[in-house]
Amino acid sequence: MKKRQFKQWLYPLAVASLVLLTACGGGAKPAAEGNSTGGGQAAGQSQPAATETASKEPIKVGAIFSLTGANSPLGVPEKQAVELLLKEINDAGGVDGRPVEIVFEDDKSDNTEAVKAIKKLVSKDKIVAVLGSSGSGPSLGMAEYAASENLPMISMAAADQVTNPVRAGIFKTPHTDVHGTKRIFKYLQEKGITKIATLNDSNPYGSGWTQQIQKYAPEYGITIVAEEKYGTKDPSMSSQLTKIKGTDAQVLIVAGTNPGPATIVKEAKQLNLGIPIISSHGSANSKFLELVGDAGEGVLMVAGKLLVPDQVDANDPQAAIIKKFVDGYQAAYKSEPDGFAGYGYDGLNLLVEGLKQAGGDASKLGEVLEKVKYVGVTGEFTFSAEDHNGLTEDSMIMVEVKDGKFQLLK
Amino acid sequence: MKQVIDKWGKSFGIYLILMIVFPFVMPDEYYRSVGIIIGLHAIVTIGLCLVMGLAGQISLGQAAFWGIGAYTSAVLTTKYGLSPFVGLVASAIIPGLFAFILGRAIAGLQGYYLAMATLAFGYIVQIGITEWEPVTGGANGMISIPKVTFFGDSELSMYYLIWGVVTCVLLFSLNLLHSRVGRAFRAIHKSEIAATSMGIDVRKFKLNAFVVSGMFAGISGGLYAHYMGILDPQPFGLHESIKFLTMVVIGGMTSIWGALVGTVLINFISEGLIMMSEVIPGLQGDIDTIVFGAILVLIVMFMPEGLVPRLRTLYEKSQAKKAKAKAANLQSDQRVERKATT
Repeated sequence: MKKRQFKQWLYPLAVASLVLLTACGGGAKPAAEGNSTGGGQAAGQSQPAATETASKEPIKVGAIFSLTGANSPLGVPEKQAVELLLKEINDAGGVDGRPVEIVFEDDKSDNTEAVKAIKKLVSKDKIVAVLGSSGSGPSLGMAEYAASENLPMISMAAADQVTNPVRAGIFKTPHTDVHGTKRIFKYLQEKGITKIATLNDSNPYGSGWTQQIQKYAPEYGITIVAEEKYGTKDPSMSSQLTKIKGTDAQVLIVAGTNPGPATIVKEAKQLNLGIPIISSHGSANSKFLELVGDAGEGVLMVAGKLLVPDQVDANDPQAAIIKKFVDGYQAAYKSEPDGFAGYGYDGLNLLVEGLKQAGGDASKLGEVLEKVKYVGVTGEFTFSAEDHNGLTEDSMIMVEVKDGKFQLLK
Repeated sequence: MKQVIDKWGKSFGIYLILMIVFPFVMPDEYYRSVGIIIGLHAIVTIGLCLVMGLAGQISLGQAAFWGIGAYTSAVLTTKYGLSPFVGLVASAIIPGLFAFILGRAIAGLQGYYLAMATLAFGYIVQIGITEWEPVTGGANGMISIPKVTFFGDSELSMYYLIWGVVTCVLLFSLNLLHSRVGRAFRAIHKSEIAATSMGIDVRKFKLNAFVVSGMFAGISGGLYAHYMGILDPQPFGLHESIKFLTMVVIGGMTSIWGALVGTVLINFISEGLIMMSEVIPGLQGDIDTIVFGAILVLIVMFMPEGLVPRLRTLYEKSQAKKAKAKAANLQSDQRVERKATT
């Protein structure tokens, strides 16, 4: 009887340990296969250089993007841009002759998954630095862990909180709502407009804008006469627009990600709102043009220069890199790169620039990046000990929708 | 306690061994963090199992209690500088209070209506967290929430802290199951009218189950906040509530072990899909939602009582068969013996 009982115990235990073991063994292999190593690409180069690159140990970097879920329109182009640039960097010999290897992870636009992913990259893949993530929540979660582990991180998320307050080793590439707000206010000052209405999304992106508009309005002599909100999934914003129509606002600022702003523009036309609309960089892409159709004529937008690559002044310091990036991206993926692709591109470029200046020593990366100056596709980055975003509002432009296209405003 | 050991000794032994051994079988920070997430989910699902399986109520608002717990502890520790342990106690009490008020208000509701009411509650809480910016940080959330220091703040110590809580919650629930209270719960689950006529205060018992489940979810939320270090309203929506529900239904609503097994299973499937997606690129992303949905449908169609109760019935049946065969054997043996002697 005793023996039998023992057997009964043994069976589930054996099964459980088998399951655990297979789960354990299976984990390491696919991760190694999923890596895009520089070694293979370097083989196409002249023979001695290739063997030299291959013989040195690669620098392992992690990249967490939201490849699925709500943020996937951001994460996918970011990953594509990073992959493209990685190939180019390794073809050119990598950093100090060492190839760069990137291990990609998907955070599914979820905070918990992002934190799990960064832990996996650190403990299993032993990365020296990490790029990502696309969204603000996942990035903030990652930053918390990266800061405690002294792991350099470059985020592609918009939220100001990622680099404010400044933490050692945590940087980000996108324009923030601060830059967008200041750029719009500068434009309004030029035009002599002082009364504005706002209609912003209630998600993190839109509420960030609301805060910055409130903060900087007095500085530019601007009064907010109406401040309305809408929900990301609302099908109609006409009640808010009707309220705004009743005020003496001279311009309406809309901050949200598509399709919200497009709906607002269309409904404003139906309601005959009668004042210009300025939409934020979150909606400045071809999807917006597609959604608004004819109603979009005359809408103003604040955006990065990448939105109108062919209209960038040839004397602009960014002109060369924008052209190179756009041409390369189009050749590889047969589509126009958007701002998000640019954030990813700048992120990896900054990381590699930092690694080069640190002589390949990743432990110094955090300090070195604070002194890096780099002209990117998003803007001219000048990091400092107080500023880990490194951009100014002058790297943004105002555009107008004309004949279904974006037209740069001089 | 004795009852638990008598009845659940074996299962509990296996549970303890697996739980303690797991971080050493997988000496990898990543798998420890997976273990932590499973533990956090298990605390919520065990509570939900009390409400669903025992009291027969459907709650679609469990993630809301989870969120209230998380924000309670996060706000107290981050804004008022209290110790995380004070925060964790508060993160049990405040969601408990919310559950009490909500439970009082909707105690008369049954079935779909109760599900609707809890669904609405879930939405209200998520919107409330998003809009109450001065306290919760709104949609941008909170950062730099202090870590719980329980013999250090490594992944391993966090694992044991959380699974320690899971064990306490498990013991409490198993004990409850075999007390007068547990029997009353099951009576309510079978038939409210019959239970009332037996002198069981249905309202009171339902309310108690609801409050306890709210407190469990709150504790788990508090631990989640300190584990993550950041919070935003995103994880506390309907999606998460349904995920908890799926875990309980798959494992088996009427069994506490079922909730635990369901939680482990769903998380393992999730991890398995992530691993497979590295080999098969087509399996990326929201595939897990589809898989969970399919599993849920299959379970409800073919195994409505859930995995654990079904397996237990099968096991008991096979045992009974064996006993029968043995008895028959014995009888025939005896007959043979008798024949031999005559």
